[in-house]
Amino acid sequence: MRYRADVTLIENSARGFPPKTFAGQSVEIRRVAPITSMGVDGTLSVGYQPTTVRWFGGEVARFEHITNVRIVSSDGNPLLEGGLLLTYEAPHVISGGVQFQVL
Amino acid sequence: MPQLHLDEQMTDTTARKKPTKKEKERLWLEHFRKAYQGEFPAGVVKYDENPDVLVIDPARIVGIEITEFHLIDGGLPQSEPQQALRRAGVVEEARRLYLAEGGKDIELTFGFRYISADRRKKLPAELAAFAKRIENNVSEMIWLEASSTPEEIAFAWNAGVYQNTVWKVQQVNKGSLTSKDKLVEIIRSKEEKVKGYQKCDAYWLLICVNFSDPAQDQEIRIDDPYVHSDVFERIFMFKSVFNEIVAVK
Repeated sequence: MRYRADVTLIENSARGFPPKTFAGQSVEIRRVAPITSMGVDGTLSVGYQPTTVRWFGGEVARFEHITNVRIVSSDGNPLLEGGLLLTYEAPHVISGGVQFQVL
Repeated sequence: MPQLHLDEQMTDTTARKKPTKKEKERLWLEHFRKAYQGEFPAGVVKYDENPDVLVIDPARIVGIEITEFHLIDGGLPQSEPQQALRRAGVVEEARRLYLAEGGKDIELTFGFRYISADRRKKLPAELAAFAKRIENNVSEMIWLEASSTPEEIAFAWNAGVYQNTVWKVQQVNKGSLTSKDKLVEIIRSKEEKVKGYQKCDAYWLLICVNFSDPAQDQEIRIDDPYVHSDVFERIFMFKSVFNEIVAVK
């Protein structure tokens, strides 16, 4: 689903760099439902799946040292907040922007 | 330098060299002493051999033997270290075959099931053919039943074509409860070894589980952990990160 939103890139490190917010961006967010399974200790485990984001107008270079991402819709509703996931895909160029994953 | 967690100290191979056996034993004992709420033997701690640690008090000497609880002996083909080697080899060969057949420069991530010795040889070609089948299924998790081909692949992710792509393994391991039989086997094996150790007034056995090592990780809080021993005065299982301690004796 495509949104008009503010994208905030956060570097969670000791370097003390403030988050960088890019207002009024066009993003497409694709979520996957979590999977559940019963753990050996008898508790239900929830496996959250990566959310894939396409940020039109975004650039791969912006993601250097970035650890977390927050996306808030233009009307103030939080859409997504989590760690930048590098397990399956690194932030990479797509037509007109950048694609990355958050978990 | 920031203080690393125990599991990081055990497994961090990026910035530091791997700890030696003696360094690991020291880390395990230090962390166990911090976590243990009971009465630890009084005296001067001396790191030694046979047993690994001596706690020396004028009244008595306690020898502490430290060992790690590997789910499966590391040399066996079904062990995690051996399976990890097979997975890496299969993925590397499969990518070479796929590209040689004119495949795209896509980035793939695979989760594996058990790879037998027989299937190890056939698997790269099957995986290359599977990659061909999914090369256009970009950015979606593909789950495979055990009856699918290749049967060793549990899931795959195709990130598509981009710069500096790699094929890699993202292994998901099933949790398991500590096997009482394996626990007894470890204890009996150590009891045999203690016969040749230097004389102490009492011996303790510390069986450690490194949470971040898939070859060891397990749920140690089992219903009936008690194991009798005529050799060891106390026996504990200790799991890193969670600092769980189970008194086996």
